[in-house]
Amino acid sequence: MLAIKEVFHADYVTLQLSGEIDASNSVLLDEAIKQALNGNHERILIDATALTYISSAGLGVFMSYLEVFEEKNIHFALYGLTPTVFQVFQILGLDQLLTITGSAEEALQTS
Amino acid sequence: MMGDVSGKGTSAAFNMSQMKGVFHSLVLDHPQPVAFIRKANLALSKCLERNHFITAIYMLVNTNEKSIRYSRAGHCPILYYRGTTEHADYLASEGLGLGILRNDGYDRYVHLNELHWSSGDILVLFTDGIIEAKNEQQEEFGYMRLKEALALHAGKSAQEIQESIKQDVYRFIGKQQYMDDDYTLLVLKFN
Repeated sequence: MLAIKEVFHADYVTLQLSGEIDASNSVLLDEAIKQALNGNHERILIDATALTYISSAGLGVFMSYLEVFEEKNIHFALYGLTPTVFQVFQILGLDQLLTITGSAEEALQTS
Repeated sequence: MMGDVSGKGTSAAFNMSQMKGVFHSLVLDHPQPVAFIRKANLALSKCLERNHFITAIYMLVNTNEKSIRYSRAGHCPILYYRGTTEHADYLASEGLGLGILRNDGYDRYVHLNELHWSSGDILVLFTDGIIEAKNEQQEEFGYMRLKEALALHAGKSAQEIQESIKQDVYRFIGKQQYMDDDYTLLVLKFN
């Protein structure tokens, strides 16, 4: 079960994820990111505080946007990952390519 | 070597057969681990869908020097038990999954690691199906339990260790649960 809530701020959007991302619902994450991109936001933040699990399908969604973020010069950052979820990013090596911070403030400062 | 493809079902099976073809072709040239991983990334980048990736560990075992040279591409780390200290731990190494960066930029994320073994050491390779096996309380078997299981069974033969770890995983998930994912478990014990 995955729930995604969009929170709009003056100059950025936060996608709050809660629950688990797996092959059955990763398309929801994909759509939410696509929508945020269509909204022409320069900064997109992912609040992963309530994310309890991510499968390879979920990681694949983040991975598939790496070039788009770079091309469009979009600041994309994740924050609040639990140690278990962070470890999944780390083992795959995605932590080297994505901005991952502890808090929203830190995620905004990295832009 | 060990590898795992992302996703499940038909697309994963299709990607796995492409991966095996690429790997079998590359080993014909007896490449060093870093060269193998870099070439595998370039080849697989041309056939995987943009949201799919593959993880792998490629090892070259030199039985004369009692050494292993390896590169890790985003796969679960090697679990290693030292006979002298009777201690098991995961070997830290940097790396990035195959198909994540689809250009030369990938090359700087590939690293060569080397280890030397002594008699009684044990090396375990596995896929995340083992780690993510869940019990009724939705708790994962996890890295800690796998490490403890290896230390506990270290006195046994490689085949017995593999069997005992599998039993530990099934006992953990309980009779009411099925494994969500496929898994692979390879145990090497050095004499």
